[in-house]
Amino acid sequence: MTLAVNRCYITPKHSDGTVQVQDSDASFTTGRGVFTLGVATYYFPLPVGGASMFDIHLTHDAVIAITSATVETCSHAPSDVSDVSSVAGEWMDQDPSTAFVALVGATTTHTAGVVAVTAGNAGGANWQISGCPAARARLKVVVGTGGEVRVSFCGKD
Amino acid sequence: VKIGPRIGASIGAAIGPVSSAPVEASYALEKTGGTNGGWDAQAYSTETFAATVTLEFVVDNTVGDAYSVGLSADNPDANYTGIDRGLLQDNGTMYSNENGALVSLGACAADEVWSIVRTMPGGAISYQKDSVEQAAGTALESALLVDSSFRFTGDSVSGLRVTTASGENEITWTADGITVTEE
Repeated sequence: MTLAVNRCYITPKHSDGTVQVQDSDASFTTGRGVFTLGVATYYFPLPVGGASMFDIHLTHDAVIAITSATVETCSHAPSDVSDVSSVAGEWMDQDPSTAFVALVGATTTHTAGVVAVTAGNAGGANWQISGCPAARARLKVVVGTGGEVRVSFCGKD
Repeated sequence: VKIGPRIGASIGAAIGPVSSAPVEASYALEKTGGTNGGWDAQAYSTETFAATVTLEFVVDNTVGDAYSVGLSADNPDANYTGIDRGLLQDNGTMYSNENGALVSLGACAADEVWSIVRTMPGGAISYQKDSVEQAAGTALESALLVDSSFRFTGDSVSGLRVTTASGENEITWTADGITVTEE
């Protein structure tokens, strides 16, 4: 088993396609990889790079409320389907009823792999995806109350 | 006897420029001081450049990095917002940086060479990747120093070169929280 994609922080894109910049005043230690999200939908493009199994780690502060955080996949070409496409059927939710997501935080929950966060508690969620042959993947985060998150990714063959 | 000095002068004039070795001056900058996560470390040049000048550097790493390198008429502080015409790398995305106004130039990767070209007269600014323009900036005709700002401990660039019509230029650095290494 080899490391297909080294651990990296993921930069989100706003639903309008705008690439976000790391928060210069983050409350997390060092602030590296931390982004402040407003009330909107953001997409974290995941560099799967052929990895058949990968790990997504989201840490959130106590301020943010996340309506939903969903892993989605797509095998269409980036030239045809953008990272921020919301066209029905272009990106597919990966939400099996048997999904397991590791959670920390009194108000961080999941249903079929779709994570939700009620404001008031810092915490995190960790998806471990295996047997995924999709060419592309993203984490879609719908924010109800703005706050800070840090999302990391690591993939293996 | 009478023509000797003339010959000597002629030979000297001819040989002088040819015999002067070109300067090769390349630097690596890495944040080693200040606060990890604060825009509080900088290195800047004593020299200023009034003519056409190119500042280039190599991207070392992208994961979580945040730094800006550029050209400035002055150096008000260590923050990236004080760089007049620069490039800013943030976690794998490169931006043009004009006093804190960021415009995305797209994704960047390790080992790419990014540069800022200021052309005189007129002061036209060009932001380039591997010698291909990615965007034009706001013209600036002032004499410009080399300026930089780094956010995270360990963030670095290498292959930093300043080229003018006469070739590469040696830089006298003032560094605060940055280790500068001549390569």
